[in-house]
Amino acid sequence: MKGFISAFQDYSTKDGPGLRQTVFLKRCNLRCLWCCNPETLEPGEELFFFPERIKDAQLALAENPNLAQTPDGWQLDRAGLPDPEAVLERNTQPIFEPVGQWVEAQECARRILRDKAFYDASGGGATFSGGEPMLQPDFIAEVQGLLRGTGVRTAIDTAGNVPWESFEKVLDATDLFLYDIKAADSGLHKKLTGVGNERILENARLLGEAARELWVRLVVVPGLNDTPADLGRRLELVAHMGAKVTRVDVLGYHSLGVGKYRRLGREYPLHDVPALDPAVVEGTLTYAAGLGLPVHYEPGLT
Amino acid sequence: MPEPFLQLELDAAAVGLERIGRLRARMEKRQASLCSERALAYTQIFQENRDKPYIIRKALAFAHTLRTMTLYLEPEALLFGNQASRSFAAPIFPEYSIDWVIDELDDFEHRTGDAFAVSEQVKHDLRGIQGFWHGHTHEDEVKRGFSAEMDLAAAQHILHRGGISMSGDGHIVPDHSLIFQYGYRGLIDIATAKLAGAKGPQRDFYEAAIISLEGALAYIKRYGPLLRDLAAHEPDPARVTELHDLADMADTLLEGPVEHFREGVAAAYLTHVLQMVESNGHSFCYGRFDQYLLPLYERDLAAGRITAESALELLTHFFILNSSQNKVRPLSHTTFSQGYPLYSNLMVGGYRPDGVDGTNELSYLCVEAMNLTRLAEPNFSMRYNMDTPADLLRIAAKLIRSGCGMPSMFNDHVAVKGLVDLGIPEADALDYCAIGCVETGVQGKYGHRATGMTYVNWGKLLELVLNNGTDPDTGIQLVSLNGQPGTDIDFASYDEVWQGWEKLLKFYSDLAVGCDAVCDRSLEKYDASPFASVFVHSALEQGKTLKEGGCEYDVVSQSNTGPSVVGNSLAVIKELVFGQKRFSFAELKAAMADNWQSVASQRIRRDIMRLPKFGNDSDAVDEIVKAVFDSYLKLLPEYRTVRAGRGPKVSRYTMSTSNITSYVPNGKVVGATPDGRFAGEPLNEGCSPTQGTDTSGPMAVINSVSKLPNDQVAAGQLLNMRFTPMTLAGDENLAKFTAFLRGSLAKGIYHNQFNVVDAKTLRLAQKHPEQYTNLIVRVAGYCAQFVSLMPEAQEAIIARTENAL
Repeated sequence: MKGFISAFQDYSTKDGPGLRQTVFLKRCNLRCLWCCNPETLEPGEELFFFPERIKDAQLALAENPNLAQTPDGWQLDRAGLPDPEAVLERNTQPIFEPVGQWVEAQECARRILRDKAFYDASGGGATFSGGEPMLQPDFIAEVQGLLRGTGVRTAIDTAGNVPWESFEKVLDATDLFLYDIKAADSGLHKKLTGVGNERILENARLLGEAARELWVRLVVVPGLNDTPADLGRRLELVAHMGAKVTRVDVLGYHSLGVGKYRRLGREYPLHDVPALDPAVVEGTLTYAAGLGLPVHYEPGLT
Repeated sequence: MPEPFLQLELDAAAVGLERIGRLRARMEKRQASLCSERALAYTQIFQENRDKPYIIRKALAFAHTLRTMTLYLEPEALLFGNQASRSFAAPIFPEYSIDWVIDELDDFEHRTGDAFAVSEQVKHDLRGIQGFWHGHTHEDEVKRGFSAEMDLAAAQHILHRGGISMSGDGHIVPDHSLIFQYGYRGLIDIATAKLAGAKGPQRDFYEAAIISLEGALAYIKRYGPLLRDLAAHEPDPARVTELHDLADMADTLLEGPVEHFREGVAAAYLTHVLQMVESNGHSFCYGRFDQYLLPLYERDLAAGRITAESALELLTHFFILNSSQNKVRPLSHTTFSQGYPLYSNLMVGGYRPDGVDGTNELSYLCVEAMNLTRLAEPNFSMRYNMDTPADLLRIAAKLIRSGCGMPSMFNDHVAVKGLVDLGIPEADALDYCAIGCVETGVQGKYGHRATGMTYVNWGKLLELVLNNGTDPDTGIQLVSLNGQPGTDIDFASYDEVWQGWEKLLKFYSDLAVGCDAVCDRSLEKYDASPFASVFVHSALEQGKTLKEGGCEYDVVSQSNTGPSVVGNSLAVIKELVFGQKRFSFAELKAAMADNWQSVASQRIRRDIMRLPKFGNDSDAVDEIVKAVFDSYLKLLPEYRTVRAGRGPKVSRYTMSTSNITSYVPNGKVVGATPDGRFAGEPLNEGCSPTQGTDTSGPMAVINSVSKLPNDQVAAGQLLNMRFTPMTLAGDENLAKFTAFLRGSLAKGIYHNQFNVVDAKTLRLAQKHPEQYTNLIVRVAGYCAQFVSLMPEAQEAIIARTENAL
């Protein structure tokens, strides 16, 4: 079968141990305000627009009726765009790039296998990320089936907001889950991501029970989910997930995704995010250590 | 410097860091100039000895120079030895070529890169001797030897007759253990004994060797009085002691065997400097420094004569002093090799001849010394293999991460196999080292440049294929593909295009081998180099110079520039012209002639840019790049050097992609190419993907390169990658990077070198060069001060794909 993929990322160093090939599956059922991969949210093929690549303005206007040059820069009316293939074909200048492609499981497994020497040298492997990769569990399971016996280890980077049955499809073949807990309070979770966290926490508990290795990730966005109270509760939840949590990453917010929103013609949901209070980080790390959690801090980059 | 050491736990106070800081600061700000002393001394001796054999005249002139030239001590340094009258002054070598020196005399200081100050006195001196040498130099001899076809191929910009067409060869790694064992005096004794039974040219060789070595010993002794005089005027008592110790060393150094670490370092350095007075070749290299110095280091350490700290201090002084030598090249050659490179390679790590990994304490100390040095010389390299300690890779990765571009990493498994396949016994192959950039050979047994004989511009060659053998710029046609004159040609199939490539490749490769022979025959006389020859087996045994065949292994290669551009272009023709038929060959050619400017041309280029390029692990195009390599490799068994059958045990051609900065000027003369490259843009560097086309990440690059016949590119396969500093920041990322190196090893990559600097920093350095004199970048197989490069080369470096996350 095919999976809908936004990108393969080589030399991934943040998505599990060692050197990894990360497969970004496209589509998500959360809408986190700080999301840095907006191109992985929607189910269809989309177009990045690069106005800075317009060298010949007349040509761009002639080829794109829905494009206008305004004092504020180039304006693209996306509502009037034909399908992406037609846009790409009619444009002479490389001002659009498609994102989203259907890839056969066979091809996906083949691409992953090519980097085996690096996985072996580094203790790495492949990571399915997204978007929400667990919205395509059958595809992941098929790729994992194809990788069986090759010695390639796989990880899934998930927010966990899917039926437990989806996890059952990949449970046996997955070596590691990277599991996000974005807020402890369900009301806050809904405000930040669009959904409550009941199912997410339940799945986390079940994964813990199923004794699957977990790296839990706690993103900290100043002003949104950085209160010591919520962070403390998140850590307590993690502490209850059991000994298979081998690593807890506290991830600082970063704004590296902002440009991608612009290229997709979308508004970045956050503005003027203040700097993270170092005392909050320190308090969180201390509290986590007190709970016996193997905690790491990854500062955000702005 | 917050942390002076990368990894070793040493007593910082005992390393003399402040003095090192001052030494390197002076070296960083040094100004290049020309020195006329050697030229005047050689002129005098050549005029006085017209009746003597050429090699004797060269030896006499060398010795006379060493007895009369100005000596100085680099302030505060723990080593002596100078190549010219001032630091970073380039001597002139009139016997190799003189006319360009005079022609460019007023322009040297105005160059946009690699500028040289020239005093009025030096100008006067050099103008005064031109008449004596004009018409009687190596360059003149070479020019007389070239056929009309060779000259036309050069006019087409396919062949670049590089350094060896007007300067010496260099590319020599002495057997330092031999020097330590005998000293220069012991080698004189051997030559004297041999002289008794020798006749003719052999006799001349031994005589010349003796004269040269005596001159070298006299030069070393001249430092004694100089140093004692300095001591007499020195207020600091500690320094007075140092100067007296140095003076005592000068009195006896190399008069017998070298038995101590300090003398060993001094002997290696002086031998290096002296070779660069004898010949203006380059790539006079140190070879496997951590291996041959280890016995001296261990003995002195055990006896308490040195400590790790005092050894590191001396090593760092020694490294820094390598930036006090210089070489001047004509402008046309400078664009091929920018940044005042000397390519003085110094290598650590790797297997010993017995197959055991030889990593030792000195390997680590050398990395620490390079970290303290952070200058473009020595060209610091590391061998590694499956048995290399993780610790050594880690310290190497730390140095790479610091952004100084070193060490470049050589894969023992691939390099050794390449040499063994050429017929070199395994024990010798295991003792290989880099000789210059990425070209490799066996230390003390190679006598010639493993690479960089004649440069062949494969980008231009491709352009000729598409234009029926005619160069569109000059109209010169030496071979017609369809039997007609002119640029018009149509191809019925991809196979026809490929046949055209193979036909022209063979024609011009044959011609290039012919050019090599012309240069080699002339070098035999003009670059006789008896001094350098005695340190390489088996010149002394055979009684002939290296150039006459007095070495064990004579493996050479040319330098072929642009295989990725050629492969990417052929892939476009195969897939889009003959496969998908998106456009016709005529349409493609028109779009290239138009340099992709019209809308129709732009649309063709758009389709081209969507096709995967080499470096993205895409089999279709990678296979074609491999075929391009294979098409050249299969020609090589036919080629011979002029020394074949005259002494060397192995004498043959191999391949190398070590092409220094030639990819920039070579690209300048090539019109738009079918891979979407614009006219005049650089070609790709070494076997690296074309700048900016590897968009799938570093693992994909390695996967692509791993498909090439790397172990047959036995004179060095150059791969250059750029990482952003943040990709390597922190312990976790560092561990992942060392794993990446191990993965590259397993993948069979020959060599890899890294620039760890972001584009923003490079742009800032272009804007404010004076603030970035410390920025050292990997140019090709060597490092250079970024700000000393010409603007075009700076742009090519910035354009290299940055692997960032």
